[in-house]
Amino acid sequence: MSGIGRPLLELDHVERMFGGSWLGRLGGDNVVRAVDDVTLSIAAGEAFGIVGESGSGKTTVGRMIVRLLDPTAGAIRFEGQDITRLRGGALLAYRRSVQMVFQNPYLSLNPRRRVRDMLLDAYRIHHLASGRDAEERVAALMEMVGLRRTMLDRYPHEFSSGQRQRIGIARALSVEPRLIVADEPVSALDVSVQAQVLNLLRGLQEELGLTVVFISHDLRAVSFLCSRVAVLYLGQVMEVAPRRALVERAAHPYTQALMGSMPSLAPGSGITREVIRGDIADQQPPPGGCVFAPRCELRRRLGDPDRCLTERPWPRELSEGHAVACHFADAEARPDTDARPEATGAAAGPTTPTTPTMVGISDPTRVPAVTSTGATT
Amino acid sequence: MNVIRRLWRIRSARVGVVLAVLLLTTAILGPMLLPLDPNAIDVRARFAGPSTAHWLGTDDLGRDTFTRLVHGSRMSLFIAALSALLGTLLGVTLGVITGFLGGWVDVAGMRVVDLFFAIPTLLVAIGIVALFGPSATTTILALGIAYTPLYARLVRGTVVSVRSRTYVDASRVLGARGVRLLRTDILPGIVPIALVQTTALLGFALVDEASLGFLGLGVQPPDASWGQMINAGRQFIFQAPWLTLIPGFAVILAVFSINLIGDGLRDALDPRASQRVGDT
Ligand SMILES: Nc1ncnc2c1ncn2[C@@H]1O[C@H](COP(=O)(O)OP(=O)(O)OP(=O)(O)O)[C@@H](O)[C@H]1O
Ligand code: SF4
Ligand SMILES: [Mg+2]
Repeated sequence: MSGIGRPLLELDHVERMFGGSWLGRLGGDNVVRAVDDVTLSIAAGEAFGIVGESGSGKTTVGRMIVRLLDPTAGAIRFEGQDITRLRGGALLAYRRSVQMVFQNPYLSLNPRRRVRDMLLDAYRIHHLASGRDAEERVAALMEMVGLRRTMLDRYPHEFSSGQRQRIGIARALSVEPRLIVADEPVSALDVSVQAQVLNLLRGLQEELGLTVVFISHDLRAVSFLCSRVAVLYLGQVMEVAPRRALVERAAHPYTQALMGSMPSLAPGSGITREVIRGDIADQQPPPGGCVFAPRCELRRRLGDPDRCLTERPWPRELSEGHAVACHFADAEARPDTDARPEATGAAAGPTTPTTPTMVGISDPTRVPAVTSTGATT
Repeated sequence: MNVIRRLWRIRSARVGVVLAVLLLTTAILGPMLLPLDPNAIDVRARFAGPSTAHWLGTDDLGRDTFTRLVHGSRMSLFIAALSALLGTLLGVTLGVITGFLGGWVDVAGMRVVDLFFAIPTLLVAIGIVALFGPSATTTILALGIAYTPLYARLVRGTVVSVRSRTYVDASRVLGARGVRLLRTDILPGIVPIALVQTTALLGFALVDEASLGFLGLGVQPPDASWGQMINAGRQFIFQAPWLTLIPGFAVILAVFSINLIGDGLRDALDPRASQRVGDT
């Protein structure tokens, strides 16, 4: 599935820092490099996933793509054109091409506005339609996302979480975009409707030939929806791979750990879970080395090679469309089920000051069941 | 509107509304219905006590206190309403511009506001009256301008917080900006706070009009306002205390009514309350 057509969206060494102003530094603020040299290429019509723990920079990437934030370095190209400096009419045109579905539909819908007004915005702003024509289009949007046109006169509080997110999706679709960034579109929803909304997104993506950048901390949801996946850690890309490659031969120790904590996809038993020591913010990664080093199981198994601390591993291609940012990824190209008891033993050893923590992957009861797309809740 | 219905459901606010309606009716219709001239001098009836001819007695010039009180209510409420309106217009405009545009506009605007903010409201008002001479118009101008900094600061803060809400981001991604964004997403977000603040200003203005009047810097004789009446009665405070007490009581009653409404509004607009009852 990888590499269909030419890239629609390219991130070229994109970096975003926060708190970098001289005033902030004066006040003792830390500079956060939320996104650190991210290079990605997303093909037209593809569903591309971005996964990572909380704080890995997923939202920041998404907000830069939709121009809610500007990168501090690097370029973002849409159909070959750098969009990071667009202004005025050109920016408005870009906004017709790229839309966003927000994480929390309780926050992303203005409580004081009727659904109709929110959906009509696009037509008014871009002068796409007016009068009866616009009314018809708005009604069609509602039906497209599995809501009824009679609901147009309601306010957001009259809807359930799933319905609200459907409205959020309808609004994103109202300009007929080419690309939609969906930032954790189901994580704020009631568990019972998450699968329905994921199904809706998948259906729309296929039906409308949309390109979707799907952001999630839930590797399971990502593999359900996406043909290719990038794994982010502390603002850096650890691994990019087609879904199959990721599931079957995850190369990066971080990805392997994520997979291991996902029983439904992990090879072998569902009981043993690989753990990642420490929390994402626990240890400062060594400057100049690999950001994952403080928590890396592979590095431990290899006897703590110096290279991990002195040289940043840049993504390199293992096979077609499968890149990994680890010096030693090929040493063990498969998640080694047998090594786990040993790993657990090491975790209990005296050399590890932090307690083992599970990566933030939700519990197995949240496996999205593939059900019908249309049903409303 | 839903807010009004919710307001009416609060008992104390209901009392305030009833009082306010009474006061307003008196101020608007009273002067037309009363037979006496508020400025008619009758030296034979100076400092008269309450009687059927003069319900609340007379002042040092024999003018009917009740008639003057009613005529004065029109003036006082008019001044309070207009200065609150002026303060609101200036405050909201300044607050929205600085809060929405941000950057150097924000920095410069807030510097000026801070400067004014450091001076007590009444002192600002007195300064302005000193510049233009006392009259009803200067009172309105002075109070309206004096209330602006506080209001602007409040609105700016609210706009800055509303501006960063997710639904504003969502509108931006759709392409909304400038006036459209203000109209659809930002201004509706500041309406509740503005309503409460304007109501509070009404109360302040009533008191401040009285204070300016007391200092002789407000409405000038022979025109009546509550503040002017307090000032006029001041010299005879021991001889005829009702001349100050009665208009003073009128101010207190009006402020009380406005405060009841203000508190009620605050509750009626409480987001948690609106979650319960359903938002507008
Ligand atoms: N506006 C901001 N100002 C300062 N720091 C920020 C800002 N936005 C994000 N950050 C920081 O950047 C890093 C990445 O944040 P981001 O929200 O992109 O992560 P995320 O992967 O989306 O996490 P989550 O799963 O919690 O949504 C975090 O350390 C965060 O604290
Ligand atoms: S480079 Fe070293 S520390 Fe980084 S992921 Fe690979 S083995 Fe682990
Ligand atoms: Mg996020």
